[in-house]
Amino acid sequence: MYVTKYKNKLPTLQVDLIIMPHQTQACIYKQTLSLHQIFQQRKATKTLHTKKTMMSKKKESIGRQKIPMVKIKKESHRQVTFSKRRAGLFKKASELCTLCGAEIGIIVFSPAKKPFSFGHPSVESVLDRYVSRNNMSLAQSQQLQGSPAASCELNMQLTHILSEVEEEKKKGQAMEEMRKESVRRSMINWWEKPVEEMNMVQLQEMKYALEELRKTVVTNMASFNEAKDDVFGFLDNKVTVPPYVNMPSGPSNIYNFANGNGCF
Amino acid sequence: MRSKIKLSLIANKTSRRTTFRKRKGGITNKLHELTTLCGVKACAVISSPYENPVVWPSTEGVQEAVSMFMERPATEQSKLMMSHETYLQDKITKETKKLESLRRENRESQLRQFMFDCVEGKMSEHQYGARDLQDLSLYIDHYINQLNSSVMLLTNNGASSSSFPPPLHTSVAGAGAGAGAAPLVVAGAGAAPLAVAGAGASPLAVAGVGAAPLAVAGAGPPMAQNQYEPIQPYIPTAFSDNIQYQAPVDFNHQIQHGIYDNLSLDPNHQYPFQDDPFMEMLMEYPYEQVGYAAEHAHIPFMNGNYYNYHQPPTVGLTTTGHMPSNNATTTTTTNTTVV
Repeated sequence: MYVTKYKNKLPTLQVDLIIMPHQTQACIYKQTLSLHQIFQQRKATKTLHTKKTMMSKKKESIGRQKIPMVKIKKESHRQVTFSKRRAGLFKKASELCTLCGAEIGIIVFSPAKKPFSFGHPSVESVLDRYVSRNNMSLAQSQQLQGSPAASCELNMQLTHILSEVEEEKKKGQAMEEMRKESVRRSMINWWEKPVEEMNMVQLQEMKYALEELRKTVVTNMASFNEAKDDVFGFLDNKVTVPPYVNMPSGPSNIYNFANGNGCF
Repeated sequence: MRSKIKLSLIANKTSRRTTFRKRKGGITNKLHELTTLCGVKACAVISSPYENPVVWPSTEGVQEAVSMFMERPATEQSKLMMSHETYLQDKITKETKKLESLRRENRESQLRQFMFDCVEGKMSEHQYGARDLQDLSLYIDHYINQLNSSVMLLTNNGASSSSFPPPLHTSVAGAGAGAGAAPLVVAGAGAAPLAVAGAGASPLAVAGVGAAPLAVAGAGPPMAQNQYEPIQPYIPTAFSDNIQYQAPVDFNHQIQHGIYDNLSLDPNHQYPFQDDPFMEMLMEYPYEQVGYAAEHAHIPFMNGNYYNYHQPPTVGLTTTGHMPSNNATTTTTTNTTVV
């Protein structure tokens, strides 16, 4: 470790030291010239980057297009389209069941002749009732009694999770925006760049700094453990297990849900 | 314009019926598109308490599809069957995984920013707890592993690009470096009159002759000092002291600019700090000159890289002046070893 550090650090310093006594002004002149060259190269690089950005933007604008309403010729595309649209169809059917209390039975055969079905309360009951047209009112009333509770609970859970997902997305976007702002102002430091873009000296320097930081963090952790106080601050300490997993079912669920919502 | 609707039974009966009618049309439209695009068969029955059941595409179509469905084995039917409850459960599971993934991603971003702030000496600006420090420690370990991987990658590339001397040669060069440290300094001192007066090789020969007693005199102590002193300037006392830690980073910035063709450096930011850290280092640690000279003799490819980069072809006289100095140094080292 010592030898490695020695070898990596000293040569760079020593070379400059040798040059200085010879020609100080010439050395400064050379460095100025090389600075100018690097600046010009940097300009060229920026130009290329701008062009690439424009090209990528053009590609992105061709994302969504209207398709003709005819049978898709390619087998793989047809299969993919079937999967996606079947999912969307079932989603819409589920929403209709939730919002209007409707009973729906859907059967779809895939290009491979496999039967996919969606039903509420169940495929067989809806289709059998329609086909046979017997005891409709009795079956309907019986079914309606059982379904609302389970569906209602599941929908509440789903709504809760969806809202949390949206919150996390917003947080991620905010952090990304801050990072882009830093890049725009050119406030970013060399050690904040991706690891792949660093050279040998930078990697060694960063490694050394992080090892020192780790020692400091471990020391602070020890002192924190002695104090035994956990402070919630800038870095949020959200639990790994979602709270609704332990939520009891039944009427009290609503109260617990509200309470949990208040916490978050 | 439109607010997100709540996923629950609509209380208003009239509104519920209107929504049902609209969405029923949407579902039939989706069924039509699916069957047209993929060339498949499908059927649907939609019923509600206050309307007659609606079938798609038609009564005969439903009968046909149901009979096709019934012909299938019972296992296949139930395998791909989905009820409202199972559909919602699957959706909850999927969204839960998505949520956990997003949380992990956001936490890593926060830890990364926190780590960089600590490196810059801004640890006190953050409020943190034991859990945060523990996660930060794990993240630092992960990042150090990444750095090690990159170091290994660069080392392999470096080995393939430049050929290192054999072990025997390395040991000889090391011995020469130890013995010839002082003579190299003398040679450096001798170069000044060469540049000023424009003399030939005779001053170098004089310097070479005078190298032997100086090398004998400075054998032990300079080496001992050389081994320990270079470490001192690079050990920061605390990360909270931003200035003390910032200086080495800037210094390396300058060196990197001078040695490697690093395009990622910012010239405007680099220029004001061009001389200050270097001069400060020179005044604080004069003995390091010996160490630097030794390293210069020890690693020839570094020297070659430097000269090739900095000297333009138009300055022919300067190039000619530097070459004899290098050769003379090598000759002096060889002679000392023989003696």
